[in-house]
Amino acid sequence: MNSVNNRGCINNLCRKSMAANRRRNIILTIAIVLTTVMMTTLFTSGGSIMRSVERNTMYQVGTSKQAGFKFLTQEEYDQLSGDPEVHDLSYNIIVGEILNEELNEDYTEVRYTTEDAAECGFSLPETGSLPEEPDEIATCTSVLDAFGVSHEIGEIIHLKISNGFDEYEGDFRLSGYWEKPAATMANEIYISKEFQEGFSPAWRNKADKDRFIEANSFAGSVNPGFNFSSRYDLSGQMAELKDRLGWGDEINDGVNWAYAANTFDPTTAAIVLIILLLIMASGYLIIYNIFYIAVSSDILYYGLLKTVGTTNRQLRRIIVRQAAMISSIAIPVGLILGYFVSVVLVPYIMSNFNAGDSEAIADIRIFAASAVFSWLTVRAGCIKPCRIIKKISPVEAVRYSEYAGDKLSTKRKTHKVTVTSMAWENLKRSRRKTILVVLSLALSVIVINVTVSVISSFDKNLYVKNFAATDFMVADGSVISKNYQDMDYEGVADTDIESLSRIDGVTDIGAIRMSETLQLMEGKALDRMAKTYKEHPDWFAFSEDHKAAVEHEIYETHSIDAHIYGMDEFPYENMEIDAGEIDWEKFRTGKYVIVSSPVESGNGKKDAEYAFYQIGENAIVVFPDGTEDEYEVMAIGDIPYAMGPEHSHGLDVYFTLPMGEYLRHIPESGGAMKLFFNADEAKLEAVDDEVREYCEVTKPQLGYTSRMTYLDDFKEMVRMFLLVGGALSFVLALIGVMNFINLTVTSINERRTELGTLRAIGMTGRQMTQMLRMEGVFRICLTFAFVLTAGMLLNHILVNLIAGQMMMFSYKFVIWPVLACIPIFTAISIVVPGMAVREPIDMSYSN
Amino acid sequence: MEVLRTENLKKYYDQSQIPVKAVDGIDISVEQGEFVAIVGTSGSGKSTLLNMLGGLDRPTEGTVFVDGKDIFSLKDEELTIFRRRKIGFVFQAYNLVPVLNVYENIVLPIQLDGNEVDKDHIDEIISVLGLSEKTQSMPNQLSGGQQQRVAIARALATKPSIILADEPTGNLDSKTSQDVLGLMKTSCTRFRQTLIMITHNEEIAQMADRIIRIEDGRVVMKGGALHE
Repeated sequence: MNSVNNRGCINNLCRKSMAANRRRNIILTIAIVLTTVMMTTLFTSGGSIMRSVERNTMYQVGTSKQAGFKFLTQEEYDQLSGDPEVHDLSYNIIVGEILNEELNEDYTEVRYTTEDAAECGFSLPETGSLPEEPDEIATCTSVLDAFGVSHEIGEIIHLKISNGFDEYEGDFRLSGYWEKPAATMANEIYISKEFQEGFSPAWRNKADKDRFIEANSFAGSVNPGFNFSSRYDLSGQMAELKDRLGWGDEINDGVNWAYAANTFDPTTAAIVLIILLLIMASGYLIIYNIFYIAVSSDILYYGLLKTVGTTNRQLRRIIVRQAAMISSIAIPVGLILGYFVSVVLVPYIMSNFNAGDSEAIADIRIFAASAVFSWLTVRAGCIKPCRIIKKISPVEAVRYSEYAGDKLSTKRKTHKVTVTSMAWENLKRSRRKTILVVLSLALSVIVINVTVSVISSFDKNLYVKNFAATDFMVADGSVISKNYQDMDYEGVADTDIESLSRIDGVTDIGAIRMSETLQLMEGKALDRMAKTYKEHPDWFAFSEDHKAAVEHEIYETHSIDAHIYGMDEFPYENMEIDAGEIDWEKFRTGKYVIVSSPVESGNGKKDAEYAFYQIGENAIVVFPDGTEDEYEVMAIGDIPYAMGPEHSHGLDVYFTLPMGEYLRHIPESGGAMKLFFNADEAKLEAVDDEVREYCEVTKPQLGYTSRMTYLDDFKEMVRMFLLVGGALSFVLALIGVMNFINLTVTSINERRTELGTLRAIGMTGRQMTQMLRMEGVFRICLTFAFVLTAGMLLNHILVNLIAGQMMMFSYKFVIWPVLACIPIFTAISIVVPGMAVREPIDMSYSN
Repeated sequence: MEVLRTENLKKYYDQSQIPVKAVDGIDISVEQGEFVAIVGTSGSGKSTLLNMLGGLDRPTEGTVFVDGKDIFSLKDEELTIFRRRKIGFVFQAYNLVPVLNVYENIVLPIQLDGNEVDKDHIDEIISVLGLSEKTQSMPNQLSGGQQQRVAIARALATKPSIILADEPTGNLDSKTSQDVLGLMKTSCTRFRQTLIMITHNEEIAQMADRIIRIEDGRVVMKGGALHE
């Protein structure tokens, strides 16, 4: 077969066709730009959220490496470094434990680290450098603060370090420091290689290892982190690696769950998917319609090309090439604009995801994905029009043009001809184009309605209830800001309670006091704890390190962390009870205690079964001063998370006593942990002002939250939905209207001769404009007929998909946005044809 | 009685530097009931002239009187209404409205005027033009000759005093052309209408009462020279 080089010829035809259709190209360009803008914004926002959640998880894990081992010997490390699948290998070596009292409350590790390991562990000094001299250290600002030294290179810190066998005490000079991400738990102190080798040399072999483990110390252990060649199925890759190395369970391994975790919750995933489909549908509808209109109005031209021997493939290339030429400009423009839109939009969206970073990411993969999806949309829009060209025969093409395409009946009963009836008949003639425009417009109206429905379905009371059971909560500033390092759980003094309760408008008021103690577990309680731990070790231990500590408590010391709460009647009413009946009158006698269950799945009775102390039994509660008292367990339950100290120890137990009994045993209590009160609805704002005044001026160390704060958060979230939904529906509406304008204008242009004839035989300009307007009005009528039937069903489904899972969701049927759109769209349908015929229909066209 | 008269009618198009004088000072007068043929080569300005006679196009200079009325003194909308009552058009390309059936196409100008259809008159036109069988058909089902007959019926429907036809037989074979012309002549006589027709077919022109020949936008021969 001969291969003919006709590419130049086709390209030429293509360019000519482009040049001849300037207006169409502009509309097409705008449509593709808008589609790409939406696509880029969606992917950038989605990617930013994912990255931010992933980052946050990495901070919690403490590294960005995909996998790692703990407590290896130098021998094992060398073996690992020879494996071909292990990349970016780096390590740190544990030097010992800090004995300084200043760091009692903060878990602090002393290590030697390679620069890469520090960088991946988010602990590379931002100021200064890693230590090189044996008397140098680098650490995070939290440690500097704990020692009370200023953030300056060269500061001297006195450290006491133990490696399990020996202790070292001496002064170190600060060589570098960094700010630890809030989500990272442990503090690090990095020390030079020289010091590490001198004080805690790396374990050479199994014998070294066993000796240290025996002494419950990990000093000298090598902790490598590394990446695999792919980030997927890390557990599988890890298992294979261990097989290759011949390592068993005795080697402590871990994969970074930031990579494994599903960073998208189902709601977000549903929203992203729905938006993606909407964008593609809307883009498809307009691009399809533009090409369809273009093809049907140029059908004579294509018929002619066919007659002279252009093949279907070549004709298809003319269409697709035009689409490609326009896309090659429109898609990059859309990507850039989309990125800028994201820069504005992402911080708003992120503020609702409680994630660290909130900047839009600029990732080549995201741009590539947006470009690919936009092109797919464009290409999909070309399929049908190409098929039409393929089907049409050269002879038919002539007829096709004359009667504008769609099927007409061969015979029809005679009706009185009016402007309206002619408009309706014309509409039937361009059935497919009308359907595309109707769907395109309907899409935007439905999205507007869905947006408003979702927002209306957010119940602010449900939302606020989740965070605050009461109107106001006052506590020490450290408690409010969740500054775990230095929390004062007795910050609200009796005088504060007195003053606040006197504020006009405050109705119910009550406090919760708390003491942290160690509870000695005995008898049945101890048995239950051990049994539960055996069944569900993951409930109590966060990590391997923590596991050792937990087991130490369960099997050796038998004493676990405990909170003792003293309750006033008002907050007591909000207790979350899993099992048993509570009765304030009985409870206040001080003979009873409410005990927490170690699991909080929200499963009531089921959770209660795991409680270490069961209803009716006697619990001996150990108070901070070491005294004990015995109480009958009245119920299994806990105070709501938001009313408590908002932390847990993994393995712990909480005892709730009435305030009187609490103070009888802990008379030295300096104040309440949290004070709760409600206010008269009408005086809410006035009370809010006074409470703020008190917490900012009178006693600035206090902080408070009010229902108003959460209402603001709620408004913030509503604003996000409004912004995202509004922006989306605006762009969709823009595309829909463009589709409408394109159809209106081209249908007028296509019918110039016909309209000219009508003018010649006596249709006045008014009648003509009226007829064209009626066509538009009918299209809008069809749009709303569709929206009000199938659209409302779709609305219902989408609203439930998007917001159904949210805690503050209570479905409300909303229809006013649709109704509000009717006059707007009708106005457009009236204005557009008027503008299209402003350039008057030349009557001599009829000739 | 004079039904149509032009005075120094001019139409210039200045698309480029050099103005194109499509019609360059034409003065003609047509009597009621007359059949006038306008002949000329393509580009001689005959279609432009016809368009101005019917008020489809406004002249650069000069004016047209129909029944003694200066039609260009009318506003656009008034002119349209005047036209649909006084003037019927027949085009070379038929120009039927594709979404309307034959009957609806014929009565369209009447209904656009909001008037009741004079059924007897329309039936008469339909039967004279031999369209009785086709009233419910759609235009795309008709042959060229049939379509042109519908166009003629449409032009006659409002009982206009003048019929302007621009090469009405240009797309038809000679047999059909003869039939259509015959019908036009018959109906004009019957309904006492004036017929002004553009043609470049000398044979057809011979059937007219008078021939006006146009070249470069000017009348070069007027009056029934051929009859002499």
